[in-house]
Amino acid sequence: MTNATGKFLGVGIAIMLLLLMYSNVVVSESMLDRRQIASEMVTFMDSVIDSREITESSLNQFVSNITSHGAVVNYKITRKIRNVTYQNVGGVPTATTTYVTDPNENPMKFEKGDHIVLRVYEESFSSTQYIVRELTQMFMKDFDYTLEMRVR
Amino acid sequence: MARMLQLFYWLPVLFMSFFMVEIYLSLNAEIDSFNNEMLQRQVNASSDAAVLEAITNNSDIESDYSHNKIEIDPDVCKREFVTTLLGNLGYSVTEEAIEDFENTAIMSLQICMYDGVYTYYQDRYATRNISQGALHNRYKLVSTPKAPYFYTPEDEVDTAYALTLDLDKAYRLYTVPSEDVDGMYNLKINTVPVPVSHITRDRQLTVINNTVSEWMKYALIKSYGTGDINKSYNIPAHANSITGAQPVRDLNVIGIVDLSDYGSMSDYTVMGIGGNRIVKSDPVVTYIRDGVRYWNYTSKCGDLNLLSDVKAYDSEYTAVLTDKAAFDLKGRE
Repeated sequence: MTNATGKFLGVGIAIMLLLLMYSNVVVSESMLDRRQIASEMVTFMDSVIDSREITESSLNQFVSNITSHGAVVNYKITRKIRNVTYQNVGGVPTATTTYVTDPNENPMKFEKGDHIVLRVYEESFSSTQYIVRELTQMFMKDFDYTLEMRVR
Repeated sequence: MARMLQLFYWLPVLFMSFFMVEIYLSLNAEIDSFNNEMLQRQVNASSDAAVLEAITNNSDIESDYSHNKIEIDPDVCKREFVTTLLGNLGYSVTEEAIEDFENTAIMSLQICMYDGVYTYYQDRYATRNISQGALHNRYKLVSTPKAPYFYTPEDEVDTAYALTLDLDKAYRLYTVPSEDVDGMYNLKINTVPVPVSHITRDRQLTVINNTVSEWMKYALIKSYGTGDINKSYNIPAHANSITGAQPVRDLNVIGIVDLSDYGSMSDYTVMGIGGNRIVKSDPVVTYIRDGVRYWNYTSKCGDLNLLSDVKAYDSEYTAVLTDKAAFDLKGRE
């Protein structure tokens, strides 16, 4: 009887050890994926703020790049239009800048001074992440980062 | 023997516990590192936006970089920096959020101008809560006056300069007798720039960057300090100096953001450096000479007032043209 308990215990411990190692590998992979997605975001934004436009091909390439890292991610691009109000304060010309969000859902053209906001967020886990999350019931927060830059 | 064997089964469990703690710690460190990296990018983007806003706002009010000067309201840069960073962090940009973020997260913000640097820091003030009757410390982001880039050459006696980012010209300092106290002198800055070709550009950049670095240290001590000189301050080591890299070569905004008191469990402190090339404005003018209409850059026109048959058409460029009277006609066109 003692022998049988010991065997069950041993098998259970071995499974948990394997699970821990598996979790470690998945977490490492996920962090690498996150860094690559962040890098894709910066590269895409750099090209947009210089060219002042998003072409179909560049957008397709960007979507292809960020979705090729396991996790199911989605993106949202917002344009904040620069609006300047002129005032004459005590004889000194003053310009006050405010930003108005473009209601257009998929802005493709930008003007100098506009802000472009790119939000990339995770909609679902990859299969490996799902397994780890179900087994351990603890995992890192979803990927949800925003990058706002000004169009040159 | 069987009991001994059962005891040995606990060893893997102990090992697993350590292993799990190790995984948790390494995962936490990795996430912190990634968040720091993202914050670094976001603050850099905000600094870039602040510089661009400064330049654009300057041209909006038609005080472009004529006469080698850039006059910029530093609050314009500060607001752009804060609003961009709030957007980056996913917050709504409201006046309340701006004020809250300014007075909590920004430890130092330096607007490096053409002829001086503005430094924002957290200034402590005490306020009394009426209901409790106790004094509470609050912080508010305030700015120093514009600090010139002073430089005294070792080989020039009684000469001092206020350097500029032009690196070709600087303002000379001179003393005048004080009107208030007999026998005392006040230091004045000559408003006419003089050429400083005898001071190497590298030396000027070193002086300018050292000045900015010193003011940054001042701002960090004020921001992180409690006002008690007997206490030690915990200033992030990687964000207390900018010497070496010489990032201030042009108009620049340097911001140090600390999110430890702003909805963050870990210490995220980063220094973002913006920067943009200063391009002197050179508007195109049109004029008629010998019955032929020409278009040319103002810097290449020489003194148009000296030509009797030249007339500038666009009234908005009149001021620019009259200020070009010192240009030599030789070599033009």
